[in-house]
Amino acid sequence: MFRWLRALVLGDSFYLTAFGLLTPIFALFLTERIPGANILTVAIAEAVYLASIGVIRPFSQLYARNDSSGWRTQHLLWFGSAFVILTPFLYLMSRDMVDVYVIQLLYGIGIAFCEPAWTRLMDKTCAIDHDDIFDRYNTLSTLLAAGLALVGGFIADQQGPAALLIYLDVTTLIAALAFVALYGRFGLSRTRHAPTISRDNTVDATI
Amino acid sequence: MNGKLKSLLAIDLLITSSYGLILPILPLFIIERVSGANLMTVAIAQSIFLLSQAVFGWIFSSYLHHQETKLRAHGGLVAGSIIVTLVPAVYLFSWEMSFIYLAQMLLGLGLGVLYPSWTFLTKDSAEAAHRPKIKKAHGLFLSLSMALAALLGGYVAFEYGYGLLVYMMILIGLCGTGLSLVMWFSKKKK
Repeated sequence: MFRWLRALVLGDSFYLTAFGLLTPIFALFLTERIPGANILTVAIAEAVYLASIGVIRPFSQLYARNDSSGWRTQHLLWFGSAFVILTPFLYLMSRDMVDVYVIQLLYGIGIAFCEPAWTRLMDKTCAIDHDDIFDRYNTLSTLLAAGLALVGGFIADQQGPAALLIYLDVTTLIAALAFVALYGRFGLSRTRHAPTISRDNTVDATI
Repeated sequence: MNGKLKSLLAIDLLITSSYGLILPILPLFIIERVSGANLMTVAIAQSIFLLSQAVFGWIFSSYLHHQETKLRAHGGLVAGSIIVTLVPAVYLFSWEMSFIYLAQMLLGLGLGVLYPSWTFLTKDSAEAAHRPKIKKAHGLFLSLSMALAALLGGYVAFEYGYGLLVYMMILIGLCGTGLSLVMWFSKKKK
């Protein structure tokens, strides 16, 4: 049961970050919609996103450390998901490259806030004994990202960038809400101590 | 962190930032230089890359974990980094969309071979107690170096054109390849 859960979590989290990092059409749609977008500014936007993730991540990990019941991580997840969900909506309203930088910053902070919840959920859903299992589930999430990129490109080509943004809005919303729900169900411990994960891949019944 | 881990981290940083130089602006690059490129074809190219990474990653990961020998792991690291280093040359010489598809498939092959070998070697060289720390340090360095690579790549492409960018990518990739070769053939110093 935890196998598909883990694949779901991986796919969800991968999609949320794939939108910001791997969407091939991001650069194209920026140059189409926003005046003043050229190679340099698109690259700066991407760099802002990556830098904000890199800088905020240690702080969010520090905040979520020693969190045996999972409540603080959940609050962080709520904030992070709110930022991530807001991002496509803000893109619809952006007019200038500076808007895009700020949105990327916000998006990076959101993703960095969500990450402790991902690792916590991943740690709880199964015991990673073998590396090859991780690689295999990673392929599932990569396939999901590939399919979504294809669908996104198709929509952008047929309907234009605004429709693409609405598609991204809806899917990000669904993905983030699904993740928050998953975390609320599986990520918190109801008891005071951390659960043990036994060798036969079942989790302690205190969850 | 012992020397082996440091060099593994450096290899990953080098290879990932060599590709990260062009990653954000790849669609712009494709649209400018390749005929028959529009939104849909770029999305197809990206999907081909992800698909081939998934498939080849699965195949190679099963191969690697079937018999976990050093030869397979190091060989995978070297082969993956060579492939990732040579793909930018395909970008440079492509004037049609099918070349780009080929390049993306090769890139997926290279990265699919590289990642399982890298994770295997890292897990092998690190004790279990240090692993979370190493993972955090690695994540931090990776994001910061990718941010730097994106900035540098955009600046170089804007000022000097894409040719110089591809040469830079190949150069950095060669450094990573060289380092992984050195790692393979170095003996442990007692």
